[in-house]
Amino acid sequence: LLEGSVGTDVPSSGTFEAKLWALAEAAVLIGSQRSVDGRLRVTAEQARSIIGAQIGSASLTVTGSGAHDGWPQGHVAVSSSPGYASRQGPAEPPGDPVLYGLVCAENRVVRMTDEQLHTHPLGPQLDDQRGRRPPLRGWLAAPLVASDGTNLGLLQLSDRDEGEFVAVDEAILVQLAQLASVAVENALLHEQLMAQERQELTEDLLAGLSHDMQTPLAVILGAMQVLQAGPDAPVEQRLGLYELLQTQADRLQRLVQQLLDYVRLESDQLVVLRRERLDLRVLLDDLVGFTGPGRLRPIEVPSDLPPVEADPDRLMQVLSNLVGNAIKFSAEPVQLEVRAEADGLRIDVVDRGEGIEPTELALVFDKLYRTDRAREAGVPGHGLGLYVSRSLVQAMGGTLTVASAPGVGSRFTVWLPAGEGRP
Amino acid sequence: VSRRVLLVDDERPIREMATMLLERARWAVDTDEHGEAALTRLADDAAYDVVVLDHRMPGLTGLATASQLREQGVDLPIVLFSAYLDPEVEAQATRIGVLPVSKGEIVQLPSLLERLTDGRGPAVVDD
Repeated sequence: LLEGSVGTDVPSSGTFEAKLWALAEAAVLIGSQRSVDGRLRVTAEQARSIIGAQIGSASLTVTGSGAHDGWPQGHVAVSSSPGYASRQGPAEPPGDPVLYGLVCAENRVVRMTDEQLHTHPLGPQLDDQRGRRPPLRGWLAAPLVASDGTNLGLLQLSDRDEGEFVAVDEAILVQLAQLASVAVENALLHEQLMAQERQELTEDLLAGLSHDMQTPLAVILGAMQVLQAGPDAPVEQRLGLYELLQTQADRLQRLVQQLLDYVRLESDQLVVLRRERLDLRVLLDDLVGFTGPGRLRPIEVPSDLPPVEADPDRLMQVLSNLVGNAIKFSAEPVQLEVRAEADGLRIDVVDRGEGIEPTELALVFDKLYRTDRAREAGVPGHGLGLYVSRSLVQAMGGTLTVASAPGVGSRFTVWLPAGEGRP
Repeated sequence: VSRRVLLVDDERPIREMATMLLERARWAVDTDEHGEAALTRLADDAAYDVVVLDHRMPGLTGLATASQLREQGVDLPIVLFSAYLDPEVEAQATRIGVLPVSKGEIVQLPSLLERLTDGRGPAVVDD
């Protein structure tokens, strides 16, 4: 009863070739959708239009407790003709839990004429459903099968435009189901990976931000406690504590600034920059104050530097990000090089740290990206600094680039264009 | 004899601040910057009353350091003193008898360590 047979229905060659051509086009259309639901929807539409039926659907078998033999189906994508939809109300997929089982439990193709369908032992059950679903007129269904041979779902049609479903229809549907299986399985895997990645990114960002906020806060809380509890503390100790309070508050302030910049960049808002003639010596003094003693080699500033207009606070933000990174990843002091180059000013931040793997070099400026090594080694950070820094430098008309080799170190280069020098 | 604590944190400001608070409460404090250094130190000299470990550090994490100490049979009280602990790390810490404490509780750290070491409190150190 259920065995479809190929060979008795000979198609006119033109029609068959046209359908094969349509099948190739269907593959492209399915692939143009990126989501699982999109790929199922196009698959159902293409099956219905190529073979010519009033209603079709593509769906995925739900697995888990209580689910068996292809029931229930999820991600159901239905395609029906306009006439069918208006005549019958909201379209529901053809088929039935038991019918689905015939296809999904054994990954079999099922083709039934209208008479076969209604003389089938399942006939009465199908008739029972007439109240809530349009009656079926013939049925053609092919399984969607994963690469490991397990059932993914099914692709089904009912109510052929003319006559009964024939062997060529079955051959086309099987081809389409195979195309769709690969496409849908890929989309499923991709969606799973993305969900996992989002989860990991969120956790990593949370851990990084939490660390970077809690550390200065803890120091501030501790310093306040000592200052309050011990008004008789030596002057040097009190001054030391006030300085500690200041540096930790600055650190928090920079983090908040960075977060605000990140949110603005994410929502495509412009970061407002000041433009003023840069006094590099003041900036570099601030930078030495930021790093603390011994972490930065003495900086030589040439006298022939071109005038540059930039936002000094934002450039300080960029340089402290770069120097802060270099210190994190390198035990040796960090080298800062300043020179005139290519109609602009070039500042290099050079470390002899672990370096960056070639495969990761292009990714380090991506938002929230952290190198595998940094994550695995638990180096504090949150993946905001380089992303925000590059955006800021670009907003100032410059570039931020990196060269690095594992085991040798990294060189981050800020280049800013020479601007109109104001006297 | 004063109570001794080994404090392990890669952040200098935290080491300094926690040391200041603990010394004010008359603890004798030694510090290390990372887990490996702490393992070496404890292998030579295990005469501490308690170990305080940051979790998120370059190299060995605090939890990994604590696990190694437990495997070596070190049964000192250990505090995992961290800015952020995901529930999984917290559960693992509890399982090996390590007390998770938030960095936000830095001011309470001395009294907490006191309770953790049988509430006897550190002996007074002669200045």
